[in-house]
Amino acid sequence: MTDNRELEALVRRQLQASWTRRGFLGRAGLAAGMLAVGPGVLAACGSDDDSEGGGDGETERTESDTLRISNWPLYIDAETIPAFQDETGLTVEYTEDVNDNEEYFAKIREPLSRGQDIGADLFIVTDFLVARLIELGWLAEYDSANVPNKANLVDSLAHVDYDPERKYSLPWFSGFTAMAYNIDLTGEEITTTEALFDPKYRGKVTMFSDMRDALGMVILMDKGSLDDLTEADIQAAADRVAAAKDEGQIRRFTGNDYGDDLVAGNVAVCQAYSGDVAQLQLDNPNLRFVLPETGGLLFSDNMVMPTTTENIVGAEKWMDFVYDPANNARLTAEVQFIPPVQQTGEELEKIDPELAANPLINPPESEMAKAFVFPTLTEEEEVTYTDIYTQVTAS
Amino acid sequence: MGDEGVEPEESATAVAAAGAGSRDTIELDRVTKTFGDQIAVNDVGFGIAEGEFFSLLGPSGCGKTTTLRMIAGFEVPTSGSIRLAGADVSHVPPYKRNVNTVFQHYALFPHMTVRNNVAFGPRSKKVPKADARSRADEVIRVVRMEDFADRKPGQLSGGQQQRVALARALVNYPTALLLDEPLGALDLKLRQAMQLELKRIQREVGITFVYVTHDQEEALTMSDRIAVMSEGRVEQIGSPTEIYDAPATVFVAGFIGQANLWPCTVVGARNGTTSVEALGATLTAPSDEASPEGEATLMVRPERVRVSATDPRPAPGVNATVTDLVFQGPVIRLALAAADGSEIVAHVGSDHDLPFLRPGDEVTASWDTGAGRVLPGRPPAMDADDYFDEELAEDWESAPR
Amino acid sequence: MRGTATGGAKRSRSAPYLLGLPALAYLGIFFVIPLVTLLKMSLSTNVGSVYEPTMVLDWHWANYSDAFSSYGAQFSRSFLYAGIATVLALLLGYPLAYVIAFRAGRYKNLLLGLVILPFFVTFLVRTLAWKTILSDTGWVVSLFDLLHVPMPDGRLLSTSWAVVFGLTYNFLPFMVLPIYVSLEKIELSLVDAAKDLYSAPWRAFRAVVLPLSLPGVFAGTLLTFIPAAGDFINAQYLGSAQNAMIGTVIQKQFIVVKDYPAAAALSFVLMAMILVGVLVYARVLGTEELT
Repeated sequence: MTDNRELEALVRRQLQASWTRRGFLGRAGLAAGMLAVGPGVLAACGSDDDSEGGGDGETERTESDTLRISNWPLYIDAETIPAFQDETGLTVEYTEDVNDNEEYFAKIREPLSRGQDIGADLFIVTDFLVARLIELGWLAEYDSANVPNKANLVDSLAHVDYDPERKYSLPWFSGFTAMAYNIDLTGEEITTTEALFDPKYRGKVTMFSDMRDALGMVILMDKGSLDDLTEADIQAAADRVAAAKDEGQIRRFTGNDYGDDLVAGNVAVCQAYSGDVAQLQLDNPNLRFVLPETGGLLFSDNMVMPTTTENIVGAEKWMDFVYDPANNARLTAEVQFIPPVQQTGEELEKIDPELAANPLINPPESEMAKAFVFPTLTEEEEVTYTDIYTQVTAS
Repeated sequence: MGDEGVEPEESATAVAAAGAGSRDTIELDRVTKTFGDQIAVNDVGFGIAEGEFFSLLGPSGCGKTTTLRMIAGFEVPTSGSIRLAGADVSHVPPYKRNVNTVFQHYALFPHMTVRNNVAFGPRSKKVPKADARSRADEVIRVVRMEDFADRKPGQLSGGQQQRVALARALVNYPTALLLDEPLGALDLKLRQAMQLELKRIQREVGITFVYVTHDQEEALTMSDRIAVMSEGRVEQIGSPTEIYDAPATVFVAGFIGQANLWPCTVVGARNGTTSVEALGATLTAPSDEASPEGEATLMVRPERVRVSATDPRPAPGVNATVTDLVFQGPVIRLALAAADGSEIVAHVGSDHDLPFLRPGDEVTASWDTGAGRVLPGRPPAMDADDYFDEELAEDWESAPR
Repeated sequence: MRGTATGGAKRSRSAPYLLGLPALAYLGIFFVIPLVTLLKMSLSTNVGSVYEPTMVLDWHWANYSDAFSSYGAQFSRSFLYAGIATVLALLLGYPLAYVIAFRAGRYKNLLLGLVILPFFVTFLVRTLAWKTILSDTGWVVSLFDLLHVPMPDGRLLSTSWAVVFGLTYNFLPFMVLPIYVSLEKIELSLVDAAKDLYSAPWRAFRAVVLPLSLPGVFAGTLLTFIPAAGDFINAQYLGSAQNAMIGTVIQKQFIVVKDYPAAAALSFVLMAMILVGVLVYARVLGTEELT
């Protein structure tokens, strides 16, 4: 059934190409999508498991002629893969089958827990999932010596709490989770998270259904920081969203599909991802993206290798290739999220100066100051917080 | 087929009793019906007397069913008019006409019991439930289905369904009962029993029956009068005897029973007799005012042909050679070749004093002058027996419209 | 066949059962086993971690009572939406099936093709297409505004009506096709017979055609109601934040919260409620007598 999501992404791309001028929608296709919750799927969760795949020990130096990559839809340019293949002689099997972190996790959990191949040697998921996978011991350590361009990684992402030495992961792109608005409908510039709860926009607001993406910004508004996050903070923010929902303030809870309503003029203010907005503006020039004064979230998607990878050597070559500033600039020009490579800005200047000046791709210090990373949660916290917010979105 | 031994005299008296003078219950006046550019019924007109058993007989596609459906109201005539009990009903829908139909495949409502099927008509007419029920039960008794009143059609045999269909129509005391090949789906034995049963019921209730069939034997057995149809037209209307003994056209002669049909040339008429040249001889036949001139057809029924080997030629007589000889039970079928090559078929009774014949023998074929009949037009190219095929005809009639 | 003597006779007797084996095996592997696993899970407790669950079958019936107490609103919403959608699909689908079966003439196949045509486009894409049509700035809303047709919150999209509409639209073919099949089987001579027996067209329909088409109506309503009740796509894309259906809950419990026993119990409750509903419905309609 999960195959539907690939089909979905494909069809969606065609739809967008034919119905709108928008070539693609930033990164993913749709969030909570077509996964049919039937007995078969649920049964796949199994009951008992024993073998812990891999561990923290030495990773076996696997190598093969092909490199299998799983990524989010529309999260790459057309030239990177051919160029990489030419340079290395490897064949890349590239699949856009990551549509949602949790759904991808649901898909790989069972095989990885048994140490079985998941059909990918390298895949790209968001921070919190990387943290979880490292904790579970399901990711392979790579040899930094084989990735000299790793030195180009920006300092701010070099020492994250879940992978302080970046032994398991390398960022693919970063972005802001913040707000977008339609100036034509609001009639004014939006600068605060409060706007989401402003009765003026009743029924014209969408929020994310993902707990972190939705509540992080609300907690920042209430509390000013995400440090020392407690269940009470989450509960308070969730209550606030629930109240707004009950009043009809919130039109929908969305995944990556928020763009449709925004472009169509159904929505005035919404939570949004930074990389999408440049593309959405092509369809509706009245759209604006803002990091609210009280702050938004900074997320990163990361390249990681499962313990079952069959080509760790190729994966290292891949990471080194995309961390080359020129290669990275070309990728960035297409994807339009925040690149993790220091020199990309300069390279981008050569290709497209206008893009290089875009604060959403090359954010100045002042913007970065308003971006917060959602803290890594323990398993128990994660479950509790997610459950709290799901009570709001699924009722 | 080939069973011409039926005695039509009885029906002939019935028509005299019912027909003469009384006003016709059903009248068709110059009725034509076309479907697209196909003419199904072409300028048909006749009247049916009250209490008459009237058959529409003809091969498949002759327009008999369409004629019946126009009387029932399922089809609207393209031109002409239809009157029921004197009132023009040409454009009256079927549910406002007091005639009822027994359909070819009965069309019983499969989801209703026999009793509810029969009570359906009265219930439509808003007869109170209890009355409708008792009326239904009464008619169910008439058709001897009282033991099956609570069954559904699917649990009944073909003959039983037939009776229910009849009861369902009769319960409404219709002005006329229209029957569309009602016995077509039954096997021969049951069909013959049902013929008698239908006749009995018709006599008992005294309702006008309009009966569509392609089976000439059935029509001859049951009808007071028969309208023989071909290609949308009525060829002849008359009692079974008239139709059989005095067919008006080559078609009727060939369709009803078996007939020798020879091409002939009329050479003269005198004193109620016509002289024709046929089979290489000059022969005579009775004539009337309708008798044709010039090219025509001479008809003689096979059972009227006498065959003799020894007789010194009684007039009229034709020399012929025996080509075939088939024992058919009650009769022996003799096929002869006349001098000009035409085939003469003779049915000779087994008590007939016939010499022992074998193919190649020279014989003389003869018949009474009164047995011959001169009909307008040339005989059809094909043998009369091929005119219709029962199986084929049924397929045709039941084919979807 | 005869030449193989006794062995052949034996084989041919068991042949029908052998032919059924693949289907039985398929059902066993892909339906019964998952169902039993699901049932087991719905009565289990996860004693391991969320990510590496260890299920212990401890007959945890609370999963079921929780399903009822926590999600009663979503259940009733699902059945309400699915019920209205089914009624609407019946009201729209029956006349359509009737026209195709009896009045379409040589356009019959064309019309049937048009009914099936939407299946050639993904369910999701069809639903998304309606988003565009029903959009706040779309022509439908403009037209309604012009005609002063009242709309909840002044919009069509992201309302419960849009969800019901989407369900009706998406499952309409499942209503039309079985009804068409049952109407098609009705001999036209039966309608003639009813008219011949003094029934005006309406009574002929009510007393003959309608009862004979009930098996199709029965199949159509089930094929519409059952998937509609479990659907969450329409609620997700056409509904508002307040229109979550039980399918949404099950999906979130499974994917996001990862409370597998709860998701399993919810699935079972949904299945059981539909089953009971179907049985009651079958009894009321008396289908057994119709076949």
